[in-house]
Amino acid sequence: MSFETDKQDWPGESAILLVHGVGNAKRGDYGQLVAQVRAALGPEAQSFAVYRLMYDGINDWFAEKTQLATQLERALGFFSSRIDLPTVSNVMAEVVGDVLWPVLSQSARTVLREAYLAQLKQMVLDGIHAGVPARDQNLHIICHSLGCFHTYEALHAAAQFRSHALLPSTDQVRFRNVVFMASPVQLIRSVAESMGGLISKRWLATLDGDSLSVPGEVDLVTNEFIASIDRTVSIAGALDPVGGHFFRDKAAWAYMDIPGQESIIDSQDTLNINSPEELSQVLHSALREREPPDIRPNNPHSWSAYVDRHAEDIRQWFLA
Amino acid sequence: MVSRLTLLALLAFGALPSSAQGGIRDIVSAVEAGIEACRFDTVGTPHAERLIQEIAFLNTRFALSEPGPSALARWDQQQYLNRSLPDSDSITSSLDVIRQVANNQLADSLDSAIGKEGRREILQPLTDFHADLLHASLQQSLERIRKYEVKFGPNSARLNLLEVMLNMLLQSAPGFGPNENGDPGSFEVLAGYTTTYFTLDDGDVGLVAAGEIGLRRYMFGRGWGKRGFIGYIKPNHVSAGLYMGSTETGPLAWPWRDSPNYGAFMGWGGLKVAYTLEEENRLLISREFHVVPWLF
Repeated sequence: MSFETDKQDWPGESAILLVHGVGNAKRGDYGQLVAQVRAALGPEAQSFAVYRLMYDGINDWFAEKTQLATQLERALGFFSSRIDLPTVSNVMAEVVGDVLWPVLSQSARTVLREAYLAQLKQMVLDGIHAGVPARDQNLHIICHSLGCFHTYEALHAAAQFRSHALLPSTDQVRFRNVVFMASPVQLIRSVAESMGGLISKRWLATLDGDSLSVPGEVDLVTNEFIASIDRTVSIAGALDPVGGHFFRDKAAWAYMDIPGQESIIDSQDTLNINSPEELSQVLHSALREREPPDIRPNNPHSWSAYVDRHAEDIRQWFLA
Repeated sequence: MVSRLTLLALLAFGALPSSAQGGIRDIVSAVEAGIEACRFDTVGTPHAERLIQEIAFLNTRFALSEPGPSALARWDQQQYLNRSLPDSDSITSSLDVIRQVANNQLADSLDSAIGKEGRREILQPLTDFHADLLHASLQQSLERIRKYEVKFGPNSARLNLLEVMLNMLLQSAPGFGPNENGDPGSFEVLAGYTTTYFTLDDGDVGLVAAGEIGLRRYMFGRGWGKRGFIGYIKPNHVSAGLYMGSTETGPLAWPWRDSPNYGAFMGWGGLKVAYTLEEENRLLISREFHVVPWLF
């Protein structure tokens, strides 16, 4: 599928870009997230244009060109003939491919970054066409999982290359809030560094410098550094390994720590039961309905759950 | 990153379509009006002083060489700029400073002096110029993505495991990975074993297995690589390389069991023709596809 930017009419002076993680960056996959974010913003949501970065099709190019799904299907077939091979292998190929190619392939990460930059340009242009110059635009980004990696790469490219017309000072394109949820950026940096020459460092901001950094531009008169982001927030779950925590222990080699960021660690539970009272309710309900009790493991990596837990924060940050 | 000088120059002299005239002259006029509206020339800060210097510089350049309509109609605007404005690098640097100061310190002063709406109105040419830059840059991005779709998208050649590894190794080599502008390299290594060559063997059509190694070149021009019949006339890639064919006909033969028939192959899209040095199985035709994905 060819890439298209998401175009929106601006009802006000604010816009949010949502950037999904692995495997589900298509139009329909964002439906629940858009609804949750709008619910979090309350009545003021009407003044926000909400954009979605739809780059899943580009990931599919690389997965299909290298025929990864077919190979995984063959490999899985050795283990079991009872699983739905085409479905499982397609899902696995999507997950593996979405992570592998942007890191290993210069072409994959270049085109994914270009798609992200195209979306940012579209967003700012839509605002200008609505009568809001870039200086007056309130831009926000919420990203999750591998979407955080693409966000980090795109914002650094936007601040580095003037031809994108997305500089924070010269072009006045600044982001009031960038909220990273379960960011694997440091994890990718650490793994890529340990792989040495296997990972080409060209066009990879994640590997630049001595540590992760804030994107920005230098004032041409005073040489002062002007950051692209006003507030950087990193939210990670205590049980979410993608965000750098392994069974509630923070791993410095895997936890993203950009200078100046606000860091929030979510306390997470393994099950959807959080207290003896809740357990009692669930068991009573099960007896009454004569059904198995609804006790399930929580998904520590769920974007929906992160947004749900921080709905009030999002409201405060984005409406400040 | 890419042709920024050309992009800015084309916009500055109105050589690209724009909804409003966002050229350099309009920017200079707008900034001068803004300076007057909030007495920015009296604040005495480094930013104010620098802004006034750069405005003076551009006014000097405009006085020396004003482009006429015939010059603006030239195809090669960059050549025109280099000839008539040898310091065009200085002009774009000056414009960067003007835009940065005008969008920040001057805009702050205007907000205080005449309010947000007044500032928006006075600095509208800068907004228009920014919109034109964004539009041109967006078109560049989309064109770049289109080229990646040609090379990696659904209509591109599928790769086997050996080709994935070889192309990964060569991705930093010129012509293979992204160039300094971020455009995809047009070349791709082609290597593998194929069983789908056909030849005439004693009047019968026979299958011939062969090893191939060569290069594929992708055609990024619009109009190439379309689906359907036109895709055969103008495919999205061509290829050429060394052919090493089995001396026996029949599928799954191993060309290197004995000395293979050496020759060359050329491909026009998915259609390939090979020609060998040996009399036997001299001319062969093949269709590019993988019998066993990721292998051959």
